[in-house]
Amino acid sequence: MINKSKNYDELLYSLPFTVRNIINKLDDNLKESLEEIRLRIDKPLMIHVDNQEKFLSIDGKIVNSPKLAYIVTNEDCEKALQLISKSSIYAFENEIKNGYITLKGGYRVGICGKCVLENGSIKTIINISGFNYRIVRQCIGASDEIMKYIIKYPNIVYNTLIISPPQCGKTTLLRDIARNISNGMADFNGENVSIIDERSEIAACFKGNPQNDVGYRTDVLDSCPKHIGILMMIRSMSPKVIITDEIGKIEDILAIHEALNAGVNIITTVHGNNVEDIMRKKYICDMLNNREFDRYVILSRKLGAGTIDAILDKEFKAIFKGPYRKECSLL
Amino acid sequence: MIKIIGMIMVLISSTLIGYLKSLKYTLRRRTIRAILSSLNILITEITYNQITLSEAFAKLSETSESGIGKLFLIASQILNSNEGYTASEAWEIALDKVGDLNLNQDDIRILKSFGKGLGNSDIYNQEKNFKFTSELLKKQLSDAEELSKKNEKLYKNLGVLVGIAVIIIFL
Repeated sequence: MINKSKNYDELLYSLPFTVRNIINKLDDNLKESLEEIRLRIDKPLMIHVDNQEKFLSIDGKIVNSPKLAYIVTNEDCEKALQLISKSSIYAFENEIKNGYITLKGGYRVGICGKCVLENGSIKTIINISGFNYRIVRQCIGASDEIMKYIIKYPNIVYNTLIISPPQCGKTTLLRDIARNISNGMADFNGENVSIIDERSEIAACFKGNPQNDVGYRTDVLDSCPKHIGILMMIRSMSPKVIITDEIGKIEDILAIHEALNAGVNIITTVHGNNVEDIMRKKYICDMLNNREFDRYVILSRKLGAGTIDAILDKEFKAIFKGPYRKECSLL
Repeated sequence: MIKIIGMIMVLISSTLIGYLKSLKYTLRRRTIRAILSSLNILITEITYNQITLSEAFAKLSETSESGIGKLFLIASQILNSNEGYTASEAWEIALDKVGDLNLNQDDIRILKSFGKGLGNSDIYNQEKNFKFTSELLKKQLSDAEELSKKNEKLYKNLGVLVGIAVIIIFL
């Protein structure tokens, strides 16, 4: 599937030739479950599949010993930077500053190296020595089953907080909720959605154009700090719902209050295992105590990434009990 | 009769040779000027529009004069082929592939070293590379202008005169 999809090419084109050949030689089922490709200078080439880091040899086989693996060279790293920036580093200055570049097709490449500072902030990163190619997968339909807890006929959207440990698919779920609210569902008319995508993870914009399906009625403000973006979008795009990822800072909370005051609903995520975890977090616990969220969606890894453990209402009473996980076709 | 035809033929061909010789100077001047104006557009695309080099090359291939346009076209094709070439490699290959641009060795050398800095730094350093190359090319341009001023007429006249001399000798 994945090796046949056209988008996969964009990832391959951004890998240095040596690594590209190795990845091309991978077994098809490995290719399909590929989550990350890691290049570190003078270190073995590694991939992340099924929650494990594995070494790759030059003929595309998984090997146990790092000694048998292909060792990433300095040239590979130099080439990789040129390729992910399409040989135009100047055009990706901001992205490099932030430490990642989004490729066409929605792939993200994290980079690290030596930071060059100017007036206390990062001017650029040079001598880039580590790359993390992340294969971000959309899971269309991940939220279909739980939408009925988040929206109400004909056009009510509940303020929702998704609580999830890292790597449990909260962004994937958030993206699919955005798509469903935006496109509308059987008994729900679509509403205007604004996504503030500070880290380009939700919509994965390439040159401002969302590479992931976030719906027809969705506007995406890419790479904008959340608290600024929320206010901007309320003023400029008059959304019904604002969607943003990983809140926590006091500015974020203040901006969300602004949104709620303006009658805009909010759907967002936070790191944590359960409601008690969130209660211990500064700032955000006030929002819980004030009952500002109507719904809490709690994720875990019980049945694999994207397991929905429970959905709670305003008073933290469970209205849906999991674990439930939607198998989705990889896209 | 045949003699007269022969004489005319000799005259025409020697004049043509002289003309072609002088044309080379004109063409070099024109090419350098075209490169300079293309570089000007290219740096605007880089600093203001911040489009990638493959897109910028493709744009320039349409607007630049034929020889230079071809150079940009080849470079953009190489970049778009996704075979893992960097912009500076593509530029170098394009320079070798494009054929005669009527430039001399020094001009080519300047263009090649320009390619080495292409795309691999931030806007500030890209600008520096462009400025430096432009200055060098401007020097080459004034050199080309001087040479063409000196030699264009010389070769044209020389062609005609050599033709006449040959005719006189063989008369």
